[in-house]
Amino acid sequence: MTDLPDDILRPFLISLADDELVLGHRDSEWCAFAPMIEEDVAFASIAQDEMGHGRLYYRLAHDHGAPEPDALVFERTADGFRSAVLLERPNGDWAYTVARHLIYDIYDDILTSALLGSSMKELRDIAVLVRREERYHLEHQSVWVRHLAGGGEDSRRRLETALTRVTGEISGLTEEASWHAPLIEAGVLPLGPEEIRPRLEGRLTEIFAPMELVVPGIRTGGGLGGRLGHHTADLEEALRSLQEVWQIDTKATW
Amino acid sequence: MAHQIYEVFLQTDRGEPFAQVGSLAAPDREFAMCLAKELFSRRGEGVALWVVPRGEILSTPLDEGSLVAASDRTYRLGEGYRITVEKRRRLKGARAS
Repeated sequence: MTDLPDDILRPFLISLADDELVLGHRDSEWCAFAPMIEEDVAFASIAQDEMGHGRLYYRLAHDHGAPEPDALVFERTADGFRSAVLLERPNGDWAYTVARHLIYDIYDDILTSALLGSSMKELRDIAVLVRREERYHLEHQSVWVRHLAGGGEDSRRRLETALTRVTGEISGLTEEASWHAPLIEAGVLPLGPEEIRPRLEGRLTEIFAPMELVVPGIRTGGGLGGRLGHHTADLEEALRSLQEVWQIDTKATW
Repeated sequence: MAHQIYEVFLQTDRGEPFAQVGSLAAPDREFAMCLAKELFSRRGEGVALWVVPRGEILSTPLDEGSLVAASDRTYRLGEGYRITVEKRRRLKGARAS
């Protein structure tokens, strides 16, 4: 491991964690509302997984000088978050939830697969753990998307609408930030946003082309700003709900 | 989506028998397998799953006692043999004294 300054490592680790936390929070909002009871249990479990992955990255960030994971989650305001704007959007309908999740899972698959070769041992270890569960997520969302695409007129139309909305903001996942270049140079991040983008595009075409679903250009440039802390009112709304109980008594012992 | 009931069987370890762990409703086989993994094997509970449409399972009539033995034949069990040996040993001991 090279002697990379902590203040470059920290925002990167926090951006990885924030993505997982914010999506996990949105997932958790389906609890008791998913289309069927089996899905409800499965999706709640996925929500827990995502938040669990977030905690792994937060802990590592804490080891490099960031506040405790609880403080990072419950005491930051929206402008401190480094997550992609796409992930803070409200769930909308089930088609949007599933389409967004699948696309994030593919992005995460490409990213964590690269992290297996990171020069930083702790990141390699996290990637192994995360990928063990992400395999299930990817399969789960793929099954759903195939069923929505072939389910009927209404579900297909909803999926198409969802894909248009999601792809309009995909660029935010691979938004460039100041920490990327030094991390790539140090081998901590073996794959930069520039290299993830075409891979993501390739994987999406592989999945959606056989279903004759058009994936609108993913380099729309929409949904940017998240990595720099520029968010929409949607994240503020999500954080109000996520941090509500903590804020009642910040000194309480849980 | 028309749902069907599937029975789920889990093998806890290689070489162990598959045991029924629950059931679920799913619109087709692909979904059934996907949900079975999510619901029954996400916490390292086992190493393999069988997912079977309930209608495909051959079953004895549930309300008939057709599998209940008509008379007590416990003497034919291994347990019964051990008791017999023990009795014989006690009997010999009683004669010898």
